Amino acid sequence: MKSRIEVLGHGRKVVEYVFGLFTPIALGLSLLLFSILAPNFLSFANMMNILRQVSFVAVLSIGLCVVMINNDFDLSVAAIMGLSGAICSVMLKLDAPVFSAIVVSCIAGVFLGLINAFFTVSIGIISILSTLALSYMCSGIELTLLKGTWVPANAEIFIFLRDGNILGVPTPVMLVVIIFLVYLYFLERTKYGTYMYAIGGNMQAAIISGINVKLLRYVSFVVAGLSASIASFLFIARIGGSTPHGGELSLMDAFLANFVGQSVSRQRVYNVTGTLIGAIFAGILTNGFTLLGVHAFHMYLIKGVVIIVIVAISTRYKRGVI
Amino acid sequence: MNALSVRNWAARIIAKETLFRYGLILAFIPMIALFGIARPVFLTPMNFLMLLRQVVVLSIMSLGMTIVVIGGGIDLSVGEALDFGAISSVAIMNSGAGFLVGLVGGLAFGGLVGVFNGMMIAGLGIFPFLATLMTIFISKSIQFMYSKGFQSVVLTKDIPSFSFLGNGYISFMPFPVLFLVFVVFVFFVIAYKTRFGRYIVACGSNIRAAWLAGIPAKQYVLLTYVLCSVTCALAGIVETSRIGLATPLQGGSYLYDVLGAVFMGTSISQTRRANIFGSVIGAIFFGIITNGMTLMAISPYMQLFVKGVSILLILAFAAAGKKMIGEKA
Repeated sequence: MKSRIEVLGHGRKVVEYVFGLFTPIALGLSLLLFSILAPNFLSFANMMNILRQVSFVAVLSIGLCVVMINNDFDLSVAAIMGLSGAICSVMLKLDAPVFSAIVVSCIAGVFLGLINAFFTVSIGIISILSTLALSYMCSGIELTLLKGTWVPANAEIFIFLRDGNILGVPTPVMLVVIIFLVYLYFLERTKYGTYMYAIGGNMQAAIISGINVKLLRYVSFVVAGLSASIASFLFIARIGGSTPHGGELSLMDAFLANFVGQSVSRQRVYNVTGTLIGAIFAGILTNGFTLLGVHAFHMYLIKGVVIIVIVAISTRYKRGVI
Repeated sequence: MNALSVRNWAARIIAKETLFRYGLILAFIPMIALFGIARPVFLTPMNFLMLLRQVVVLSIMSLGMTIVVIGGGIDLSVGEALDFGAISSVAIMNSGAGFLVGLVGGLAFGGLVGVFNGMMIAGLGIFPFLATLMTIFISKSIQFMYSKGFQSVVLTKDIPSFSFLGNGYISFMPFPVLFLVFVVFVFFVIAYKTRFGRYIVACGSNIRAAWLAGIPAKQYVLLTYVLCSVTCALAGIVETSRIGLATPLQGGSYLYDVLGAVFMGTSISQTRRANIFGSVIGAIFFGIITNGMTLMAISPYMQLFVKGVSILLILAFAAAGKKMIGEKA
């Protein structure tokens, strides 16, 4: 039997190769474009700036990645991030100790993840719809807590999270690296990680082979919720407090990061390493276009088109059309 | 009739299936009673007519979404199609055109959203959730570009036939309510009496089987998205004619209500599928919730929360109902 490439011919092989490399090419092109058009883009200060800016998106999207590996979706991560940030800021405003504010926010993230998991796994709602409804609830509570205005969060630890250094590395970057390594170990080096890839590949097969699918899906939603809480600390440290609907743009960044992560893997599966690259890619796009003077709302258009192209190529690639 | 069969019969009456099928309809009663006791004005005929007028936009949008859900997809960008329809119709009428041109132009611009969705979903094979989510983001950017920072587009001319669409009365009945009845009738015909309606049910059940049976499945799926967006643009035009101006991003908040209405509607059909009348009932349900909560002076932020909870419960209800008749949710 002839292989697919032989049947399709040599021209198709080149097309397949180029489309398979779409994401690295896009990344390289955008780097080239920005470094030519925006003179400050390639400076060391700006690179560090990108890494700091991207830290909360990275944590958020790595958490989302764990859910997406299971072939579930979580549209509520940005809303959970907004809500747990709001809880933290409001508690700090009410003179609660910093430690308790952080713990309560983390508990809120875990709890919201549990709600997501309950309605998706136990009840059986499509994950996109249940998490969408939860994001609606979260923004309702968030707006009620913030009373629709800006609430500052002043604490030593947040200033450290924003400006500090650990061993010469900026604190947010260090935090991202630690979280990334933990998730990487869990997903690539333990049997539970392998189980999760199995669930994402074929859930029915995973159930039949005796994997505790329900438990793992619960765990992944809870992990996503907790990661959103941790991201919220980086977020309120970065902007100095909570603002209503502050996390909206980062939902798109988190999804962009995950789809980029999917497209750079050869088997077209979601993976944390790719997601981290994707988060940096999203940060480069945001930073570069901001330096060029593009308004934040046009970022929606640019990133939306990038996501559509990447997903369209991945979909075709998986089907073997390209 | 022996004792056993009586018991069986009684068991069937209170069987879970019956409860699940009519549970949401029954939920109307305590809700209306609650609002009626808390705010007696809720039960007046005047408020009832106002409530009906309020749900017109939501109902029309839910009808469009119903068609998409029947076709096996979902459209998260209904609110954006509404914005496109509303803004473009006002802009066209402001530039000197008449009511009819504005209407057709608005519908056409709304339809563009559907064409974009349909091409992504049927053409490129992106799954509907993601494709329509991206449409939301992209259209935000486009609206920002057009409106120069989300300024409202005000209708500067006085067009009587246009304002009659949203504000008119025929004796005591508000015209939009009669218009809604007409639209429901049209959708009933489209969904149940035409070839299109049958085909999209086939596409929604099993698109591959539909394609093998000779239905041009992709084209029909694309058409469902176009129809949905045109319908939402129509809803946007009705809303605009009522308030006289079109605000960018006004439609986004309808999405959750529309989803809730359509999935609530699935529970009253025997096969737990989206259906026309169910969606209208669901839309009225959400109209009652909004109206009642506003009368009880609950803050809009808390209304968001309450609606989120109710949508989650409705979705859970629909999923449990589907599970019971042995279908995958």
